[in-house]
Amino acid sequence: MKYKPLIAFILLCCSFAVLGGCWNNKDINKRMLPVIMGITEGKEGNVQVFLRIPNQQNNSTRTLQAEAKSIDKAVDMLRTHAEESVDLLHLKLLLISENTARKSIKDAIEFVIRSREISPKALVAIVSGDFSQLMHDKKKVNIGLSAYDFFGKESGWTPNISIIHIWEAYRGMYVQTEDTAIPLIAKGATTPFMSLGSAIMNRDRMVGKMSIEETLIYNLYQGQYSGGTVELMNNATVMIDSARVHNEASWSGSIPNIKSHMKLIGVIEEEEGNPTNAEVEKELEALMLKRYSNLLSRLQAHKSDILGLGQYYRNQMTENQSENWKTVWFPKLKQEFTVNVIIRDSGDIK
Amino acid sequence: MSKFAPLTTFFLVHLATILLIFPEKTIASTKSGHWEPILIGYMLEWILMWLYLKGLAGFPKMDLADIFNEITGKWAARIILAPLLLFFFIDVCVILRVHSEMLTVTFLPEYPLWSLALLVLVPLYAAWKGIQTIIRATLILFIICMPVTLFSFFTSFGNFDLKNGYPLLDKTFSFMASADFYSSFIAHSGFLFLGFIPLYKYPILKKSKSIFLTYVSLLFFYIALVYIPLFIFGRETSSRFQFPTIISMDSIDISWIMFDRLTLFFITCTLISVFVYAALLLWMMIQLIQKLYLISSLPVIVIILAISVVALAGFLPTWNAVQVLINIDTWFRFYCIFALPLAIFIMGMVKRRKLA
Repeated sequence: MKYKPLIAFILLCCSFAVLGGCWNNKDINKRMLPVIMGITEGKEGNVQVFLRIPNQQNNSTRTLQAEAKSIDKAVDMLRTHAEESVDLLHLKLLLISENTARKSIKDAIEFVIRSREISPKALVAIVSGDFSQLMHDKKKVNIGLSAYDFFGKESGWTPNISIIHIWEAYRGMYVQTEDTAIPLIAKGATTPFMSLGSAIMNRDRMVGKMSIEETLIYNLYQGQYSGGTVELMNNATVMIDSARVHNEASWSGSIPNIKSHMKLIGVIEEEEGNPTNAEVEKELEALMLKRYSNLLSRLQAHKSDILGLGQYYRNQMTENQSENWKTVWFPKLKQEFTVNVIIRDSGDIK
Repeated sequence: MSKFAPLTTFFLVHLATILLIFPEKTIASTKSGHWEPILIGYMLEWILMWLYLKGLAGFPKMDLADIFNEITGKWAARIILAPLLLFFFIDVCVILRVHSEMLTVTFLPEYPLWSLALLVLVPLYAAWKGIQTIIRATLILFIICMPVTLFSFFTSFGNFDLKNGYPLLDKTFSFMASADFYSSFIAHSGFLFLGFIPLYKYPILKKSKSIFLTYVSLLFFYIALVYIPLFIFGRETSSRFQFPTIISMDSIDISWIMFDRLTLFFITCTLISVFVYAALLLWMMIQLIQKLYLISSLPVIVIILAISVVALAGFLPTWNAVQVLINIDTWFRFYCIFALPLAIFIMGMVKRRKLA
């Protein structure tokens, strides 16, 4: 019994063995923490993967690049060639080139969801124009998280840009009654990116483009509106203060029929001449109506339900109908769309 | 405060399986109207638990092994309770394996699975210390774990699209034909432990009302954990995930650095409740073995158990093998949660008749 303290002491010493750390532990200064991943198609069916790694010490960004048969293989090649460990844990933005997106974003999105490192909260965007030029952008403003701030609701976002997280893009690939509108960007002149509107997706394929104005309507529809402005043809600019959409879905005969009512409350920002509020309201209503019906007919032609109108039919459709929503029923959808605009005030000037 | 400890044990034991395995199985079991399988399972457990408690009330100061020993004799008891022992054993292994798999998927990708299976040492230690230690510990674990779990639930509301929950009805009861529905009963076997703990030492358990009230509060969790992934991802997408709850938590965006990965908190809570459940399962196995099969010293049994659990849980070759094991376990589970409470209930009634 008198050995008991001795045994306890030896056991205590054994716990030092644990201090070595865990499996394959790598120090933070031996890791590269890329913020942006870019995926595009390479030569002969290969995939090209870029990683942008900010370097805070000399205020610059490094770009790694590799090409291989699959995304995973390319990332593996990047890891092989890099002098430090490449850690994708803090990846914030996934960029996909337009060419790749027109074929399919499935591989890229599934790679992220399947991977055990990248957070599904990261954002996704589609790049129009020269992909490698954007990835090798050396502008001082385009370092660190500035690319992420471009989409950040707390920072540089406006309702002219759609926001899609990777998990939403994944959901859009499989959910039967909704599609996604992934932001479309290009290299900016003095800013990190330039917004071009959004890409209209049909499941995993990009099928068309929406302009910035149409993206605003999409965002109003989603209830994301803080600070969006609409220019009227000849006499005013209105900032949208609040937007609400009310939908009523029904079937009339064998055709889905939805009644939507959008209520906008706005503030006059700029005016030319001296239009009355009623005139501005009327003009804005007509403009929104025109833009909306234009957008809807294009969406129906693309068979892409980015507004999520099918969601309102989920409780009314049979399983078979749900499966064919995007291909059969959405293009047949009839919508009665009405807008009601209220101008709350006209700023500081009467 | 400490008089509530057995109730928190009851709560955490159920939560352990609700948090991770139950949602995946329930989502896979049907294409619409997920509340139907949830409620059917829930009501079934209610009835079985009622029978079980009624029966046990006829045998004060005795546990399951003692009761069968007395009524049916030693050899019959050994045979009747052998599936229970096996069920406990497979359950521990499955739970351990699923959770270590989840840990590698979420935040320890480089760890070998067997090293994570060593997590069993924590519940083993608790089981060694005995039931009163386990029950006392659950109270503090409950207090640590519940606020965070509830917080992560409520923050997930931000990503909800309630329309994803439609269609609301499954008129054909298609889940009845799905093996996943029966596997989801893994979350409905927690009540068996009430037959092992010394009920007379805990006055609060005398009134079955308090147990049933605790059980009612669990209904929220049964429904919430299935519907959180459904509301966020929709049925079509969430049935594609191995751990739908984890990825739902991963999708929550809070720009407060501490909660950057809310999943970590959620996983920690899951593990805590799993430790409680595993500790209880191991303790019940030790009781059964000591009373019915081998009268050997506690340390020997504990060491044998530790080695066999780590061996089975750590060296199952694939995820499919785990699923096969869950399916095998389902047979034992149905025997244990149906036959045993019924047998106890009948024996209890017979005994009462005799006394009267």
